[in-house]
Amino acid sequence: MSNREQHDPIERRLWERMNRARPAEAGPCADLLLLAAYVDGTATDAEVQRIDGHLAACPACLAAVGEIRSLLAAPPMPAPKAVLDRAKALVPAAPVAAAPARWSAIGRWAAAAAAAVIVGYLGFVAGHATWLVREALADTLVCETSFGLADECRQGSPEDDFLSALKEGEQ
Amino acid sequence: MAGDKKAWDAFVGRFAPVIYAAVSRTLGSRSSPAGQHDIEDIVQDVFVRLLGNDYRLLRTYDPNRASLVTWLTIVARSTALDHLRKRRPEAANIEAVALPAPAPAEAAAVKFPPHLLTERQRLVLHMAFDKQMSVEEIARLLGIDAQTVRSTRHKAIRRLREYFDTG
Repeated sequence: MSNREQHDPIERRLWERMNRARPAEAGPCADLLLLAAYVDGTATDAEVQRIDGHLAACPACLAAVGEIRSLLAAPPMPAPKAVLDRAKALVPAAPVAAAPARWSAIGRWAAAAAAAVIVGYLGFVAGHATWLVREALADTLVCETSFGLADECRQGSPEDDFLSALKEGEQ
Repeated sequence: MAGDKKAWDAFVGRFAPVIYAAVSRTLGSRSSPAGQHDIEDIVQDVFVRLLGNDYRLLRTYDPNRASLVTWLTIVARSTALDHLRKRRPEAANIEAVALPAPAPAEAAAVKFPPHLLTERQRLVLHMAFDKQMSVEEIARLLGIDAQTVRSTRHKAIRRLREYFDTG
């Protein structure tokens, strides 16, 4: 059963008359971040107005907005392990420096003990960070599927630290 | 570098599902004969783009503007479409259909005030009349509720009626 509304022919003629006389002007397509802000509802009023005007004249962008919303509304899809491994491999682990050849036995024992403490601490931090990332991922999924209405949306997230670190590296 | 590796691995673990889903569904919605290998290659290409030139693309993301999931979905979709276009050059024109230009004489005959309708009102009427979209479809695409669509449409038509009745 069609859910399309029946348009009043007089109303259609009014629209066609206006649209023929003053067709919408496309202008440039929105960049990635602006498009994302528009979809998320966080664009400014002026930006929304500009993009609304653009969408009325750019079928590609109009279709894109619709498709992006559908993609965001769809359920999550776990990535295969091969995909994860391949992407992670893009950033190699830092090489471990070789130990000096002439350390004494006590020195080697002390170094091993210190390394064990550090590894244990890093493991705790990494595990905690992993737990935080997992929780934040769960929060993100809840937030996204609730269209930003869930409480999880109002909390900070670990990827902010990663992205902040990237930004700090620029300064 | 060790810190970068940990952070990168966490980033991949968290957002690979978002990117993978966007690429798979973008290709699937176009009945593209892309196999699993193609999907994985495109997903990898997304990550390469994100960290290429010292994370240049990823640095353009601003968390104050939009959510990272939305931004990555758009990047992933765009990358998938780029792959499709390389494979099928005619696919570049699949979405772009030029709107017919108005007849010059007719365009000059009627003068409309520039802000007779707001851009949102124009867009709603365009989607309703030109794209034959239902109220629900318009609401979904614009991320607003159906009642707001009806109200916007009603106000736009009323403005047009008032203008033509008094013009």
